[in-house]
Amino acid sequence: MDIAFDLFLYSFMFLILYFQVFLILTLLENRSSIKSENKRLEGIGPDGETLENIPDTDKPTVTIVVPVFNEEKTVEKTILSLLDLNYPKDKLTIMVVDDGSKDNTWKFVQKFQGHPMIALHQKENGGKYTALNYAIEHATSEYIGCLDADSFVDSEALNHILPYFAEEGVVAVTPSMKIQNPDNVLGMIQNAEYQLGIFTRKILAILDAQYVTPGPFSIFKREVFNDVGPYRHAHNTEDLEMALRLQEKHYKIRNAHRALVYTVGPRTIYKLYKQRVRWTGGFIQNALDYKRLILNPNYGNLGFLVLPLAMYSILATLIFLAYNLTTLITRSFEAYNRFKVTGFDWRLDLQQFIGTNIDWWFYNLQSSLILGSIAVLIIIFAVVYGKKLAGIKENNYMDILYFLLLYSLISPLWLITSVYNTIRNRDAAWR
Amino acid sequence: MNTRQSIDRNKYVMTFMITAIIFGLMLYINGILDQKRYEDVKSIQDQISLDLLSSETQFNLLKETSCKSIDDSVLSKELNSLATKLSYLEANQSESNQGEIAYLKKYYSLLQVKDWILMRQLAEKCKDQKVISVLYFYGDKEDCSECEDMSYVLTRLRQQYPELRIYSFDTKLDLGALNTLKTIFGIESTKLPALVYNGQSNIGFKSIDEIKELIPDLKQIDIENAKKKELEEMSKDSENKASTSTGATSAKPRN
Repeated sequence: MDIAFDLFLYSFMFLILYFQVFLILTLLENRSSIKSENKRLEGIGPDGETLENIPDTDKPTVTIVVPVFNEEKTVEKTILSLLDLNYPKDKLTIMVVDDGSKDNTWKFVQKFQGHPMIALHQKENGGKYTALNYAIEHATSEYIGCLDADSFVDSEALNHILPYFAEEGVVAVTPSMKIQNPDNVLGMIQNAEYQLGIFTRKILAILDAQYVTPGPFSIFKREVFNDVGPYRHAHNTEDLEMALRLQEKHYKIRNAHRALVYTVGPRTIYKLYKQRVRWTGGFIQNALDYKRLILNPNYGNLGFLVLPLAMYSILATLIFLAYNLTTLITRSFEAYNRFKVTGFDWRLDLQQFIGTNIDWWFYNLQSSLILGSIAVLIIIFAVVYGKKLAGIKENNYMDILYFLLLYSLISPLWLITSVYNTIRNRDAAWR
Repeated sequence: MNTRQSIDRNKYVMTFMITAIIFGLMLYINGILDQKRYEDVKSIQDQISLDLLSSETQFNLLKETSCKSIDDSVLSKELNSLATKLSYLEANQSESNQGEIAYLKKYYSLLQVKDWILMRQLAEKCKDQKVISVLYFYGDKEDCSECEDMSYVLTRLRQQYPELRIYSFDTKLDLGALNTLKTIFGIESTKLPALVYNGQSNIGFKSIDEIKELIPDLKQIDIENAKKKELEEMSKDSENKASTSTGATSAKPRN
């Protein structure tokens, strides 16, 4: 193998391992503080400052925005889950903003017309971020959050989130997200991925390095928008850009790991692909827009570790992919040449394959294999821990298996497209 | 309110150290495994050289005894597996180990030459010993574009005919005995691949069928195998017939 590629391979493996060790160390350092957070949420901490103990009249006012665009199928369930929130009725407003739906969404939500907690608004279509800005303009509550019409909240979610605002400088709190009833392989893959996300988000929050305040049920102090300004188009990932903007201004974003939000994951590969192209592309382009944060020590772990590593790993994955594809093509070519001169005899071919591949002696027990196993172990740990962290009671671990087996096969699809889109857009901007 | 985020330098250093330790450990394990592979090959070679010595001794004794007392053990069966392992080592070892690999290869080539000589003597003395020996000379991809295809064909033939012994020699190796062998059969590094059978050297790629033309013994084996198969099928058929006829007789009483 080429020495330059070896060097690249080793440095990549080193960095990935470094990041994993860093996450685990952070977890070990903060285990006791996570435990005390849990106790406080259950109202048994020394200060017992759970919202349960605060009289209803003293609880802050909250607006939850439901931006809808052609979502007649799920909007009702979303609104009902919000009405079911364990929170004083006079302190909670549900603001449905119809962003110019072409279907019957507006007709569907009319049944909530006149409901004391629900405000219905309709505007011309302008994209999700305009619907959010419309709501921010019209809301008067202390806190504001959003819930997409494909998501539902746990009834205690708000009570788990609001206590985090007691810390000084905190302007946003993210929830834990889970896939709603994963019932096919794709759903299971996403389920494990989201649980891994619960773990990473918690650790990133501890590190002050969250780079996304997810659309579903991240709650903000409303007044912060007066300072940082409204949502932007931000390459269709306005929730990512907002987090980076808050980080740039050194605001704090916390994570309420017990606040569960259920979301309906894409049910076909194509829809998942579309969603991820948007997410990944949005990440790359927003990170490029905020490149002044990268490797800038003023932005702590986010600037120094998380952003550069995330960018690097996207690039490295593509290089790996190219390398693996080249190897695959070379091997197939070799095999083709061999069959051409020897003919195909499955018994003898299998015998030869087993002789040179299954015997440990020939097994390429190289560094990548050892490091790969370490990475797999850490991923399994993180998924299980994420599940435990959010208090999810599911005793099905098949999702981890599907995730480990299939995720690396499908994720290159959107990585390639996202990088390609980024390059193309950048080029276009030059003219 | 808006304080700058800080970096915990100690943690970054600590993480670096832990990562470095894991990495170092991994490289260390890798080194041990490579060493183990190398030693494994060496021990196989020692085994072969012991086998050969034993064969030579047996052969010397043979002058006083008959062919029948020679058992299969004279044919060192390890040679083939050694060849596969050596080519793996050659392809996967780091640069620093290439010297050791070259040494192993030379040793292996010598063992092959010795085995070949022994086989020839055996064949002369004991006519019913069925061993077909072929010498195969190959070179690098740059010098010999057909060598790869040739080795595929030979590997396949070796699988199909256990009686076939192929001795393969890398013409690049600088080894006295190998050079002599090359001179005997007029092998040139520019005319590869070369197959030597019955003292005749054949240059260029040969397909499976062409090799069978070259080595009529292989065809003979094919014919014998076909006969055997036919006999087996015939005996199977007659068994089947016997069982169906008994089935028919047992069904009769019902009528």
